Amino acid sequence: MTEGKVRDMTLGRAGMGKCFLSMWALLAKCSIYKILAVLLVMVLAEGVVFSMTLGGFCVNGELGAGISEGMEIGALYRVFENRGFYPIFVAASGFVYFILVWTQRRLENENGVALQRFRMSWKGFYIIKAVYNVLCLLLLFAVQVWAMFGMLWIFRWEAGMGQTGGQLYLYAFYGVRFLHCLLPVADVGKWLRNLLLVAALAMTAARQGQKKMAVFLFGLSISWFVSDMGINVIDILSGIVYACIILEGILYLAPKKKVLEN
Amino acid sequence: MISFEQFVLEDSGPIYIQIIRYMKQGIAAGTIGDQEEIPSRRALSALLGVNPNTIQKAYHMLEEEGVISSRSGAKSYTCVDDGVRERIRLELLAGDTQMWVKAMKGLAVSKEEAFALAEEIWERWGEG
Amino acid sequence: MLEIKSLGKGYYGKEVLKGIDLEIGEGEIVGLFGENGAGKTTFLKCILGLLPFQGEILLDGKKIDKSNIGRLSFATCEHSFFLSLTASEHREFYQMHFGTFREKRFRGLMDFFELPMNKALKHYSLGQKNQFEVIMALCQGADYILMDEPFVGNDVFHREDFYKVLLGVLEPDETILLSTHLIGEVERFVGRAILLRGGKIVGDVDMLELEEQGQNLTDYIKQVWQYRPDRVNQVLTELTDEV
Repeated sequence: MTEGKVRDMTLGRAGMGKCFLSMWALLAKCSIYKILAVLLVMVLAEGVVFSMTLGGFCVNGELGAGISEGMEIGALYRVFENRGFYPIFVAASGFVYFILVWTQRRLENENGVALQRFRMSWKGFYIIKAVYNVLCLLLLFAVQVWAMFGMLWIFRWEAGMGQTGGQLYLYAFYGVRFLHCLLPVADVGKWLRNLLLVAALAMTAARQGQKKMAVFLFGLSISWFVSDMGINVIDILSGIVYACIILEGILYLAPKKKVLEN
Repeated sequence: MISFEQFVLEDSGPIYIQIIRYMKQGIAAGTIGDQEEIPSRRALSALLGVNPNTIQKAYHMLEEEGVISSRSGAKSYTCVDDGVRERIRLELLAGDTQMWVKAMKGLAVSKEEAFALAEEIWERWGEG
Repeated sequence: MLEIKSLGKGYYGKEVLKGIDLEIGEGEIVGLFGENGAGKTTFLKCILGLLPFQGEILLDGKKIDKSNIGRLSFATCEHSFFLSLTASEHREFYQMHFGTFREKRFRGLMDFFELPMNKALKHYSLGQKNQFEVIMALCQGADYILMDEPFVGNDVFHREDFYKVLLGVLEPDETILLSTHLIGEVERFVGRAILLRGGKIVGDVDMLELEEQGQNLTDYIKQVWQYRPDRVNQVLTELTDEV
């Protein structure tokens, strides 16, 4: 008996830290490699589209030679407002979100009993899942943004802009609608909307029995994602929807009688 | 270390009695000597697939009879001198003979007939 | 010490467990027997806190919650592991999660059952899955190991060997509560037998005492059940007469 009690005590707080880590590792093992694969394919596909559109300025095999001085911004918009990037991003986000929802649902379905036997309560696990999902979605955004940075750098180099090309990035993330919605330069409203979007999607994926809601929310988000600069009606509406979902997701944690059925 | 490899568990009778008998037979026959190490409770339990309480009971009874000695935590050893060996030998003999007599009487055989039969079978089997 | 006091459990108005009082001490190997529907699985699940119940279940005087749930482990035919992970990854998870994982025992048992360490569990056969389930329950580092018919689909030789291995590796403070219908096989292995019928405990006997009385477990159970062996003769007589 004493040994058991000693074991309980030594586990204590240090144990809880590792306990959290173990659930984290579990989530990661089930999904992170798939997500990274999707992101890789996304970047490669966008790279192909990029080189094809840039190829439009190809002269005598020299990429970008067709971009004459003073016309760089125009060319920038021509290249980066192509019809290829956004669908690829949408598809990749769809896959990433699907992976999150599907693997977490499968964990609950296949292992509902096992999870009850673990040292983590369902609330703790829900929070961990939500945070993990947020990080994965932020990773998606980050990878997309960095891919864009990379392509912009290549564009700047090909267009021969050298030192003066610094403003290119600003023009891109301010002027190109899709890029602006990804990384809203000087646009607090959009930043807020993006954060709410990520939080709402993450929480919905983390909850059990919300498959239809997840699909609906994703579809909605995608259709509302690309909007004009500044705060418009669409942004406000979507922001409200996300805020409601987030609120509901937080209230879900409130103490109530959870009936465990067999 | 005393080997229990040849020991076969029967379905008849309590297991702890079978274990005690196996030990005593070994002692009487001389195959188990003095100060021989006895397998640990856990080891024997695993070898035979038998609950440790049963092994414990067998060892306890052997200890009470002075056949084995164990210091708590340390290994157990047999304590067999000539006197002990002889006592056990007679005990087993008496027990087996008693069973034989009981069987003969159960078949309503007379003492003379029983002994004659015994002698005949003894001869046929050569050295006992 | 595991104390169960006035345990009751009902489903949709039907009482599955009625007023069960039981104490199981450290180091005991207990067999739980009963017909299908007697409530064995429900009983085990209540102890683990997987089902709500009436009454009280205490582990060393404390209620069973997330702080001490690690001291209980469970092996059941409804497997509770992650099919997409390998055995090795399960070990890592349990090590991190419970902190009391028995590494040496795990390697030993995996070797004994000849189970592959680096294959995803979804590729295991049913027998292998059963074995792995039991291994995890034994290696979690729990003090009370509950097993609910864990050997469905395993052949008798594997089972017999397994009982022996178990007897060899168990520590004196580890307790086993095994629910099974393989009475004859398990008879020598357990030290105490508890009989469950209609949600109540109808028998609780120490195996050594039973041996003293010259009864084997099957006879004892038949006696408690008031099993009537003449039923067979009766039916046969009736049937063959008609024919």
